Amino acid sequence: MLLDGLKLLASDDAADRVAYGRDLWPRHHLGVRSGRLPAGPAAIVWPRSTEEVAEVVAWARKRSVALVPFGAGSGVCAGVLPSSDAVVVDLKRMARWRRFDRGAPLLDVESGHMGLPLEERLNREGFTLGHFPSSILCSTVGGWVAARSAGQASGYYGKIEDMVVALECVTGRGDVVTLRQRATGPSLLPLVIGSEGTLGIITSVTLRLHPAPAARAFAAWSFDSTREGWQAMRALFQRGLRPAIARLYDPFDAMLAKQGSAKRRTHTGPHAPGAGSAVLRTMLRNPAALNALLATRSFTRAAGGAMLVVIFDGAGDDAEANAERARAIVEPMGARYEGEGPAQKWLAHRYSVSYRQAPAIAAGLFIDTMEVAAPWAKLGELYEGVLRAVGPHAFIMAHFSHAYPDGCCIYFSFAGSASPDGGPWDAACEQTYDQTWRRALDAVLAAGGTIAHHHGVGRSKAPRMDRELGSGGIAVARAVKRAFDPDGILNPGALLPPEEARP
Amino acid sequence: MSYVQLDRESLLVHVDASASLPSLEAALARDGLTLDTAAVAEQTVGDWLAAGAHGARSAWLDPCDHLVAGYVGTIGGERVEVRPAPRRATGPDLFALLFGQHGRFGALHTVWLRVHLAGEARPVAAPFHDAEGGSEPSSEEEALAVSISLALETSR
Repeated sequence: MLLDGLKLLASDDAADRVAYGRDLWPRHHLGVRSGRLPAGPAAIVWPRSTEEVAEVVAWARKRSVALVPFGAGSGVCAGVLPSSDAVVVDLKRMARWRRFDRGAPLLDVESGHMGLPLEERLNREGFTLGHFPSSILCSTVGGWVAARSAGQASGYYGKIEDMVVALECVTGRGDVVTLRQRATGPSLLPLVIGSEGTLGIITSVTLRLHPAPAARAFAAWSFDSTREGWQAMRALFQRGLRPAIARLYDPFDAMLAKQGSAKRRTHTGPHAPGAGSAVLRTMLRNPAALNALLATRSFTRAAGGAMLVVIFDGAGDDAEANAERARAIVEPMGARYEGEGPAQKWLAHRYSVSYRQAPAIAAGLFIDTMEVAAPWAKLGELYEGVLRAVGPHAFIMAHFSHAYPDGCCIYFSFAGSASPDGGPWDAACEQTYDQTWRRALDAVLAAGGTIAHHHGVGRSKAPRMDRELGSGGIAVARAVKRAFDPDGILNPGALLPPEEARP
Repeated sequence: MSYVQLDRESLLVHVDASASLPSLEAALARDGLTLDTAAVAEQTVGDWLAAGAHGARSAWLDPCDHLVAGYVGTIGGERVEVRPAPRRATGPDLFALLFGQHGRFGALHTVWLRVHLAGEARPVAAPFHDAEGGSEPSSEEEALAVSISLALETSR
């Protein structure tokens, strides 16, 4: 057996290898739908301590075996796609609280801790991390840090990189290293945050905590156009307000949001795509017409316009006072107050949206999301450029869910079908999917945006990293990789484009 | 002094690293803006950032706000250009090799800095005390830094 010499909980069982063969990259789903499963790793190990992780790395380095760190597998960019001779290192058995300091307040927690139980336990102690990715039910602390995750409440609490005080990792050399943030530098911590398992295996993270909010205030406004909506968001953040939640939906996405995200099924039997799916498949064969229809003023009016929902966290009367300040800022900008209802409804269904994807894939479609960002001055170009590029190939809608004083993230959702002249359905669907992504990322880069705000790069965006970082940035990133992982055993193939052979 | 570019809509200023920090503050003040730093001693923007931006407001006070949005610099002899974005999730943040590193790995040429409307109250998050925030790098951190220096040299 491959794992001879390792005295750890491990498996090379076929079912385990299938389960750990991929993450939730939608392109994988299309492959599985057409009967193609990834090879899966050679084996999986479940270390229980930093020492055991170091033991695995030393073992792998000696044998030149690739290691793929694994949290809960909810990544959507193929950050996990182990080759058939690789070993996956699942960290979920490392989930202890190592140090809880109420005074600071901070928590040093092992990286395999699942998201929602962490937040729930912190709440019982009177604290919050403030990190609420929609994957919180199926993601780990280590995964958040490795991918530079963002939570829904980033407007007040920041992204995960704003919460990490220190982290412990085992580098590809097998060294256990603790890196920490420093107010005035130097710090190597920002190199490991977002490194997607390519520099070190993160074993624990020290996180800054906040008191659990004593009060919340809710508000929502509608706008005649999406652009007017984001100008209002910009005004809020530049005037010093920090709503924990600030989400602007374009008219179609707003219409869906008003309906609520939770789709209630009336039957429990196996899913079989029916007449509705057939209609959808047909409609999505001509996405340009659908997109053009939804871009009309009459549709925008019928849908009620774009909608901004905000939630302020605070102590005492702060939350209400900030909601009133927000109202005073946005209503002179043409915002129509829609009451508290839409924001409260959003909160009630905040994690439901992730479960819409499977029925669409089963119905023969593809569906995916792309989270990109730019300064406010480039946002219009980014938004319109992506709509123009994707519109002929897929149905597309957007919301704006992470705002900052200097810019914003646009979260595009797109759905498509097989191109009419693409041959067999699944192959044609994959062709359209790939074309849609290529055009979308080209448009993002042309607009001066960044290709990832919080999903990371994985293997799906790695070929575009040369245009994100430039050849110089790629060379520096490769040097950093060699410093941490000289033998290249950690998650090879993720994050950076394939290296051209040196002459 | 003149900016390379002032993006008032995004509240970002693009400046040369050789610009004087007090002159930059004075120029911003004329435009109704400020860097809002306590340190306006005579030094260049590049030196200020290479020394860790003493006097800048602690990032723990407003997690949503960052000091630097993009930059052009040289790291290990390679020209690195990172266009401004409020946040990105595109791998390691290579700015860590310039910020607070006293020129150890490279130098900054230009930088996109966040500016603030003069007179606006800035948000303050719940208190947080990072007891080790001023600590010196550990021996294991220093060993990694040496490895990075060597790797950058061998990539030339």
